[in-house]
Amino acid sequence: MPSNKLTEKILLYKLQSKEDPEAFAKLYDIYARRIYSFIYFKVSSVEEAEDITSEVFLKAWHYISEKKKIESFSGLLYRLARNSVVDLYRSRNKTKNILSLDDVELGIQIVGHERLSENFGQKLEKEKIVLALQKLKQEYREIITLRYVDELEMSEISQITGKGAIAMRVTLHRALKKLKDLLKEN
Amino acid sequence: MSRELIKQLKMLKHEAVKPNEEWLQRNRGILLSQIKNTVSPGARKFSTANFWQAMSIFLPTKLVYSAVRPIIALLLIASMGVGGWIATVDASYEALPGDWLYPAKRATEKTHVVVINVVGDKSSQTKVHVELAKRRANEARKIVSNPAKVKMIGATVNELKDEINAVNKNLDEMKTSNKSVAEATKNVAQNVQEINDALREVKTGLLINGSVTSSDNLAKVAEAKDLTKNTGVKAVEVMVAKHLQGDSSISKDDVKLAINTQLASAVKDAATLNQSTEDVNKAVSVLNNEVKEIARESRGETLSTSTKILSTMIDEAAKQTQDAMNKTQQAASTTGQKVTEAKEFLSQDNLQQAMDVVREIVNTGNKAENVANNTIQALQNVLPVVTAATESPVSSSINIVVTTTAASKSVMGVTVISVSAVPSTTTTSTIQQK
Repeated sequence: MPSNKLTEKILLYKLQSKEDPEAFAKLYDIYARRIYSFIYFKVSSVEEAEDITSEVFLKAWHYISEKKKIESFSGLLYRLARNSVVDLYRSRNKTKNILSLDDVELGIQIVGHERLSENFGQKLEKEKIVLALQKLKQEYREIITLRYVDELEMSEISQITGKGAIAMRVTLHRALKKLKDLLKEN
Repeated sequence: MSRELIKQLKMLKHEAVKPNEEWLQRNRGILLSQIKNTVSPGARKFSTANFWQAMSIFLPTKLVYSAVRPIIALLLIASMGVGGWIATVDASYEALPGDWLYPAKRATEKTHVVVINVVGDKSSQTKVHVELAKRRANEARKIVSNPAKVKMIGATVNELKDEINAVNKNLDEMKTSNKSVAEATKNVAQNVQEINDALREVKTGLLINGSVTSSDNLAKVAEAKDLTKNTGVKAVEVMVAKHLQGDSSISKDDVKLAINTQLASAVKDAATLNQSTEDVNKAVSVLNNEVKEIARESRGETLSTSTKILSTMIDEAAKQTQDAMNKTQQAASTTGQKVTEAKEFLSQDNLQQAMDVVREIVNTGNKAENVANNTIQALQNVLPVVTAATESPVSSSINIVVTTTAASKSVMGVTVISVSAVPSTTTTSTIQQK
């Protein structure tokens, strides 16, 4: 079990058994940036991302106070974040895809470990992937970013989307296949 | 291609969407202050949910909730069920016939018998039946003095007989078996004496209480006693046969000890029987005198019909009792001689002949006891019919316990009382007038 997962479970235990605010604060420190990024990636507004992030953590606290069963704290946060974004879009009555081209340009940057020394060819290759991602339908794009960009476990993704793990694996497989096809076309 | 693609996807980061650090810290402070307001102070109570949560730190959460939790719950339910059953059975161990926990005790015993019949050998089966017979005998001994439960004696003694019959059957099979039967036969020989002693006490108890059902119960107890004695003898016979066949697990000393125990028991039985018959004889004499006293008091006046009938009945009973006493005395004398004879054989290590003599002694004892039992039963039917004419206390060395019986009323056509005469340890006696 990775150490960060173990830490999350211990903190979650403290939170559920003792309603320890300090444990909640530590979990906030671990996940706040990731959740903010996840939300900002979808709403493309600093103010809205901040409001939703704050709202997500508060909802998570209430969820814990109600003694509801939690399998994964990160899974809970992502699910709450996703639902909050959906609520926002509904309120805006927007019909466009969650990710617009502009959003993606704001959200996803091509970075590397040795960014300055990275050759031009590699950069081009990654840009192609981003463009291909933009062309994917929302469901496929979401699962690929959750799995490989946010690096969530399949069980967490399943919890976030509310779909079965096997169905999510099938969706991920199809999404990757579609992405590959798009890259080949390009 | 897929691996390469996944690798490239993982390198895509949300670099440009990092939150403002100042906002992050400010929001942290606001959140903490909000949630602290909702936390109620005071000690938190233990919750099973916390236990599962703690377990899910080390085990996959789904496994904890879908497998570990149901398994632990089932184990707890099973352990509570078994624990409850054990507690009930433990509590029912001392239960007597008529108690509400007695059926639980019997159910456990029956289950034990079924299990031992399936998985146990003849030796262990025999031990279980002996143990159950011993329990029945002790139960009968305990309830005989309880007027509310004495009616259960018959059923209890019948169950005892069933157990002894099962022991008998197993002994027959053991006789021809090649397996070692030392332990089982010794166990039977030892415990049969204890059962016999308990039945002797039951018999005395029934005579003292002199209840309506005594006559029937007395017959059952006498039957069970005969059966038990014969089973004890059979167990020793199997021991002798096995020893003579060369079974090294049964030593000569073991056989001698078992035979000596049988002899001692036979002597004890003969002495008790003799004493009982003498006491009954005394009781008949006392009652005979009482009836004659009534006749004398009438001073030539015409005796009532009931007194005449009673006088005749007691005369007959007296003869029968005298006859029984003679027979039991003779039996006691014969037993004494036979015991000497058996001991002589034992001293010569002639086990088979000693055993034959033991069998004769037991048969003699059984016959004498049957005669005595018949006499007592006859006495219970005849002697009890006494008119309530006398009000004076009777001094004798026996207790005369009196109860009214509907049966005797109908026979005599007058108010009558039934009397059963029994050996007494006190010198006072009473006749209760109805």
